[in-house]
Amino acid sequence: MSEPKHPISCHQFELLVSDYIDGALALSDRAAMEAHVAHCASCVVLLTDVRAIVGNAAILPALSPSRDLWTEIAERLDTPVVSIRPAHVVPVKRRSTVSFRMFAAAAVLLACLSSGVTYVVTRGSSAATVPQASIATVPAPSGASTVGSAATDATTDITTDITTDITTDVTTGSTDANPTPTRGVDATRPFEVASGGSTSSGLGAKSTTQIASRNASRVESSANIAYEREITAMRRIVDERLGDLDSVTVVQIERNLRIIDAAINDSRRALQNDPRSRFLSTQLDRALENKLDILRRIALL
Amino acid sequence: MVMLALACAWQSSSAQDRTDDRSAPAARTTRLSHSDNRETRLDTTVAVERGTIVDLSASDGRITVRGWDRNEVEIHAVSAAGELQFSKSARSLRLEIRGSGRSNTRDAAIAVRVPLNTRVVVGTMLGDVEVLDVRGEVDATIYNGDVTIRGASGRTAVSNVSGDINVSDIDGALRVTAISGDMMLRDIRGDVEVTSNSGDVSMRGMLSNSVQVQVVEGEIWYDGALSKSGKYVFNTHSGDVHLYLPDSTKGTVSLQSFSGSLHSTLPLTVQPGSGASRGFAGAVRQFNGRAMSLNEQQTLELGGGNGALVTISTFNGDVHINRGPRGPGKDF
Repeated sequence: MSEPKHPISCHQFELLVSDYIDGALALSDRAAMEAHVAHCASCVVLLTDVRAIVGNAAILPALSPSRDLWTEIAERLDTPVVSIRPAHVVPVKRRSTVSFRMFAAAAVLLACLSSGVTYVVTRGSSAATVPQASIATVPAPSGASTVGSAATDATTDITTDITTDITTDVTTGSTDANPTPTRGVDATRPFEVASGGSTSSGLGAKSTTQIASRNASRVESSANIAYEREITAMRRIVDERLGDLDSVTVVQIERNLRIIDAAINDSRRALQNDPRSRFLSTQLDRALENKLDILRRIALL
Repeated sequence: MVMLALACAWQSSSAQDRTDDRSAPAARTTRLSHSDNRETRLDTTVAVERGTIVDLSASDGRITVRGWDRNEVEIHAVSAAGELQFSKSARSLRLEIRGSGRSNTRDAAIAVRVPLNTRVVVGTMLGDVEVLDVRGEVDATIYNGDVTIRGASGRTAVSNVSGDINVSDIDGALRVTAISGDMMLRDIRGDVEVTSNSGDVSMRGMLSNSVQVQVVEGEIWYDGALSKSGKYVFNTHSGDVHLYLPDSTKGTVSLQSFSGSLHSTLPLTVQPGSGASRGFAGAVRQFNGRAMSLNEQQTLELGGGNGALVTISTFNGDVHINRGPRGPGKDF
């Protein structure tokens, strides 16, 4: 080990710690780091923590994105690549050193994403399907219609629903139509554009429909593959685990896996008949996620 | 205190060779005894500091925990054939009864009294669990067995494979993750998150800003008021959703189902511009004897809206919205 030319401060240690662990420092810097850590207790703790984070991040399970994420990924895959000539060349900056806080934040983010990405995305899309905008823009109740025992005299002539609203919005180019399209509803937009007119991209209705249909089937296929891969892997672990569990528990587990499988099959069959249904897609996601969750929990028993 | 160093890996088979308790550390109130050839007992009272975590587990057997107004943990544990391990550190007290190898014998029992506000971690593979009036956080994991938790505070978490779950009088957030079994939740004053694969979920007297219930096969029952700023999400695959709400309830209800219908005895209002308004006139007539189909998303208002947000979705279950409370004799 070479002697450090200049001692470094705790702040400098923090700035360089990720490169130090990566082995990316010059010998002199490395020596300075080692000299510093030899007498600084707080930086020993820091170094230990960062190493632990790196170690933990390395063993995080690989999770596949959920169906909702695949929708956007597949759309981007189908988007034609257009060469854009830059007005001027921006020089590439030297990679700046990642501070411990940034590294730790990234590691925490990675852990959160790995463990919860499908849950969060599914929840997000589920919530997005609620047309809150229509509620927020409700006018005076004079024209309201009432359902139930206390509402026998109310009527309404409003016949639009959220689907027709969005179709109108897209085809006319209006931006203030109600309700505001949500991300969940966006998935159906290509179909409605195709039936209502042309798009600003210049693609014809037919080609848009074809792309959308191809996307839909590809997304379905990719999502199924992703989930099946996870479920198969987890099922293998569970099968090994079942041998260690008592017979009562095993019976209950098998019975409940059949229940969730039936729910998955229900949703898949319904989705085959109505592949554009956001609701059914969410239901299927939920059922698949439930099965994964059960398998994960059994694996941890 | 010598007693605090008591950490015995008490193998019942080897215990037969011991004719007295001299092998165990002397302690003021500790008593280990062997009433027959295989049974192992632990009866002790241990002084603990505030914040001590009590961790109890049994492979097969019943566990009962009660809170009391003393800074001591009183333990009575017996195992007919298993191995009993007890240890204590500065911040935790741990008691474990390991299996005898004989399945389904339920040959162990742990009865413990803990200081109020103690955090209790409890688990069984086969056996019931009761945690009563501890007024602290409770974390229960049960493979097979019924769970009763009453009178806890802070975060309460329950997880099971099979068995009924009964949770009541909780000040704090509740999270239940069940694979199978019926669930009864009462007087929960905190956010509630429930996931169940099979079994009914019944709730009464909830005082929560967030209630999320997801069931694959089973019904959901909610009886009580909705918080004005609360968010309620109920989802079932196959199973009805029943809400019993006061007449004064205000809120917005979003509903959707693949093949389920809405039945309501409370007035529900659709505002112009709502996605639910199409076909609404028919829906009014349907309430004379039929139900409103939910095969497209419906957004309705209760009491003029401007209150709780309720989202209900089912695959093939119906939604029933009724005047609450449920009648006498219909306790869940």
